[in-house]
Amino acid sequence: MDALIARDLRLAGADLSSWLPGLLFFVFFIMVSVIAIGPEARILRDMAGGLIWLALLFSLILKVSDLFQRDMMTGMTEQIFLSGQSKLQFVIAKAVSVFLIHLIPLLIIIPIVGFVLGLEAQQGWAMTLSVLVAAPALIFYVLMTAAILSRQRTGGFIAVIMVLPFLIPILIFGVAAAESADSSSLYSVEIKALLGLNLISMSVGIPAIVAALKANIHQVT
Amino acid sequence: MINYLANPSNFLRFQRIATPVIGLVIFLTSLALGLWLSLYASPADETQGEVVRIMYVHVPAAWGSMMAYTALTIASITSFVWRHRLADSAARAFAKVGIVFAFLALATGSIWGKPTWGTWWQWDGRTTSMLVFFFIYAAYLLIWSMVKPWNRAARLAAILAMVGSINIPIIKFSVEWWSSLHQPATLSYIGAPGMPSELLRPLLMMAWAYASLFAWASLMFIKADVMALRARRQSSRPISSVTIKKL
Amino acid sequence: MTLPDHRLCFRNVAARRGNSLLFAGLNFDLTGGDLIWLQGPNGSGKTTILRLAAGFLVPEKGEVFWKLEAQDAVPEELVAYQGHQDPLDTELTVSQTLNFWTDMYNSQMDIAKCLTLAGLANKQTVACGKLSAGQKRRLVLARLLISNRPVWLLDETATMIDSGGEHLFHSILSDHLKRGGSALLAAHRPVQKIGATASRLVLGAA
Repeated sequence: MDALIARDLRLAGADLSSWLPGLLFFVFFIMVSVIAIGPEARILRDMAGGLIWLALLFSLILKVSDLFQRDMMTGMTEQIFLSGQSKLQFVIAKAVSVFLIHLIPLLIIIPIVGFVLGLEAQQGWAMTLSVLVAAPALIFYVLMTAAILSRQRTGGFIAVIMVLPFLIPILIFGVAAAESADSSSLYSVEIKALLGLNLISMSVGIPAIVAALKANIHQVT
Repeated sequence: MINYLANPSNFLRFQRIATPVIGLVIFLTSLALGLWLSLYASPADETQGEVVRIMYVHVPAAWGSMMAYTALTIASITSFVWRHRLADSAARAFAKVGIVFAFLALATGSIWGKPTWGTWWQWDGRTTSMLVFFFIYAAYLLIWSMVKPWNRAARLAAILAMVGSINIPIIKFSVEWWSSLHQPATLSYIGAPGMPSELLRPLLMMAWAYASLFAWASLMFIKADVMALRARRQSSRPISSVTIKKL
Repeated sequence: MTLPDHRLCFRNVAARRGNSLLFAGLNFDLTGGDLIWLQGPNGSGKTTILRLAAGFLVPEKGEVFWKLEAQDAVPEELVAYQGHQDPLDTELTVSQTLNFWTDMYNSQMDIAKCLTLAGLANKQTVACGKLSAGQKRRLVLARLLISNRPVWLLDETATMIDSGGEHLFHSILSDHLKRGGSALLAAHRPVQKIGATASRLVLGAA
């Protein structure tokens, strides 16, 4: 498992284009949204939570949906599946590397973007917290889509259509958690709901990811 | 019964009789009876007037799309566990009918919404979750049209359908929670248990008509799928001969 | 150090690609010391046989199964499969790549020794993307050595390799067979006879 994560980190370090565009997209999405909506501070502050969550979802989906593709096409995935490592560990390692490589940069920039949109510092941290709590559910559903589409060269739009229905509950409770946040919010209903969604996404997502990768490697003649 | 039908030849024989019986006899009679009950033999609503009759096409469409997803889930599990081709054809057929029903429910809901709510579209919990439901069907069918070969598409589609079946109640619940957050529920839903029997009777008859439409359309789609597969797999002579020699 | 006992059996196997039947009634056994050379024109089903053996394909008819001495042996952990692609990360160096596979296979093999055997001893710090086609194939050979698996399923591994490399491949293969390993080899170029039981499986136009 360490070896898998180390490999992903090395590859991300060697190839900035594998994660940097996701970060740039995030900031760009916020900027063009502000241009489209207009710069009135009160409206922006009201919309900040929803905007940040939307930018985050799309940045993650568009980048991560081709996450298994390269390894599937070069035959790397089938070699890993033959190597005798547990598939559970493989999926968890992938989720950890997605968190480290794709989500951490976004988590860092969220308070800054929140500040630019006129949120109080504390509200900005609440945004980060809500994303952090929802991270496993986000990652496992996006990875599931990536696994299903791992042999599809043109997966972008269908990835969005496929994964968004599953992300709607996370979006709903994530935005609500961020907006209702104050210092005692760690025990709020929204946070509990997100934790529940995490559990479900793992128990459903991990077997689905393994099965989808297998279906893309294996074939019945 | 299931075992018998699982054989494609038996299925084709069965559907030759079942399709006309379900399509012509059951569907058409129940539709005629249902339309008569809902258009003439039931009273107009006190507040909504004649408009309430849209309910008799709207509510069964929504029920039908959910029933289709239940059937889709069962077929997908069958396909995933036993790798049965007919289950794949069935799952795909159920999804095709299901997405049409979901669209019908949205469209008739919108037509019903204009005179009752004064707007074609209202982002309430029920409408929104039906729209999400429509997109789940769309994603499912997109896998079928995108992924080659056939058996890989079947497996991936089955995975998505099964994950979807677990997530749909969660999505529905959270969307309803979300809509209650932004506005109080205004419309008490017709179709609740306390409904008078002169409204319930046409509703159930129309539901029966939709169910038989579902069965008939599914049979037609499955048949088309089975025939297409048969037409494609003709070559039974191997390309290569095999000989093993000492080196 | 000998490799674990194994016997891979194909019984009356038929396979399809797309809508056409590739072959039918395929029977053979592969056990320690065996070398089978799969020979045939493009599209005759060589790769299909290798993928059947690796467990990536399920046969249309017949059975592919293992007979194993050890109770706890897992078929998946017996084979090393090499397709016609090079599953390499172009950004990583040769030694990073082999370190990764050593961890993945949980292998006790000495990386430096494997690299020397494969003729890549002086390329350790070179990125895989900068290797020539032949050197990539050599790296694949080094990975086979590290995997320490008894059954090698090789798809055109010797192509792209220069004559020195071919010689090398031959000696590595014969060592592997002597240790009780076996190999299924798809190749266009003639394969020399190694071991007493070497045979040739010809897929011809029917």
